[in-house]
Amino acid sequence: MNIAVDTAHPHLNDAELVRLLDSELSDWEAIELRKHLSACASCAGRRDSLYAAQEQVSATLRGIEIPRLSPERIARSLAAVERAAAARLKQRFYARSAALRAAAGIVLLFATAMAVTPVRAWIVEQWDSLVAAPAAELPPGVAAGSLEPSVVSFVPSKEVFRIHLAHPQQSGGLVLAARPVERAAAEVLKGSSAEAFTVLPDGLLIANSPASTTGYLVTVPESVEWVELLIGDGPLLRIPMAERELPWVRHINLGKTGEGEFGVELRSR
Amino acid sequence: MVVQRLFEQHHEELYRYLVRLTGDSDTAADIAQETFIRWVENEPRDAQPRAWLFKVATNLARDGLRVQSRRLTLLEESPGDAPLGDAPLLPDQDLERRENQRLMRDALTALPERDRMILLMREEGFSHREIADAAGTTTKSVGTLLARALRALTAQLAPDSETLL
Repeated sequence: MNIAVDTAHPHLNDAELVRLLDSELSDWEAIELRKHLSACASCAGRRDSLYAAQEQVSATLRGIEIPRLSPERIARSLAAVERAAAARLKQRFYARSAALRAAAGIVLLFATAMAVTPVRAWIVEQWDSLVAAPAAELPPGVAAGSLEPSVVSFVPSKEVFRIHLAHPQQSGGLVLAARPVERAAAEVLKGSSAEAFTVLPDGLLIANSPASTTGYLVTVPESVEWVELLIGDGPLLRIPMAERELPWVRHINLGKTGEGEFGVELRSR
Repeated sequence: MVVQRLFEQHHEELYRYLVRLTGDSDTAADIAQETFIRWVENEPRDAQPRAWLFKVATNLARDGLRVQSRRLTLLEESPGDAPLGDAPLLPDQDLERRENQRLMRDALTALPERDRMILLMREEGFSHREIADAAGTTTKSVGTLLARALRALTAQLAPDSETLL
């Protein structure tokens, strides 16, 4: 058996011919290859030789005797596999049982603890503080249902709290509230939630865009003595918080001023 | 039981493939059994069962061949067997056929392990993509590897030929 090759005019390579013989080509690829083969005797000869080689391999393999396994040997193999399957099932059952037993234990422990008055009182107190978080101060006209899911809450580490908006906006406002709480919070009040809040060591960065029309609510805790507001590259606005009566709210317009420039217009509640 | 059905569907062909790959029927039977046990232990829900079984069996066979340094010899053809459906051959023709078969068997035995595995998987009807997955290579490479294996076989069978691939 010979496989001839015309090295002077190489065309299709062996891999392409094998893929054609094994029907591994797309319809388009197969059409292109067959077109070439119909016009190229050299490649057609190599394809025929590869095909003959494949057929001879197949014939040889079919001719090799495969010793038959005895029925007993096959049955032993199947039994071993079924034993492994049963063991695996038992393992999963016990794992699930262990999880259920652990869960039942926790429930029993909790029920027992609830029966003890001081423990019950402590649990109830913790639960109350979790569900009764102070409500955010909303500006007039903004309904609670308009709150967007973008919310951050953190404890400021400094007495100066800086709010930095990346850009002046098309419109929208910032409601700045000071409350007798320990944590600062920021959330989108209305508009899109595309603006991202980033908590910084000295405050908050609001990654807005010049086209934004979003309204924000930022609550600062009573530990903050100064609030600094920086919009884009604009001037820094400093608002003293000490000796102000809490709660305190300031509405800051983030849109253009009447003069056609981006600016800050402060309006007290 | 699902694994029982899987065993009935694929055990025989897996065993046949392993006999051709390892050259030893006992080893092939052991590896086939271990392969189905691995199926039970791993529960590969997203895999094609047949391709998964052959891939794992190939890996087990490869590991076994390396560890034991087993010398591979393809089994001898059973004497007196004629290919099914063929008319009885004349003695000279039969002798020639047997000689050609022996040469081909020796050439297959001399192939690198991966080349032989690829040829055998192709013989079992696997696609190039499935062969690539089992061999740890790309689909495009399988065509090249198959062609190379065929080239090596022909070179072994006709080393004095003036026309080579």
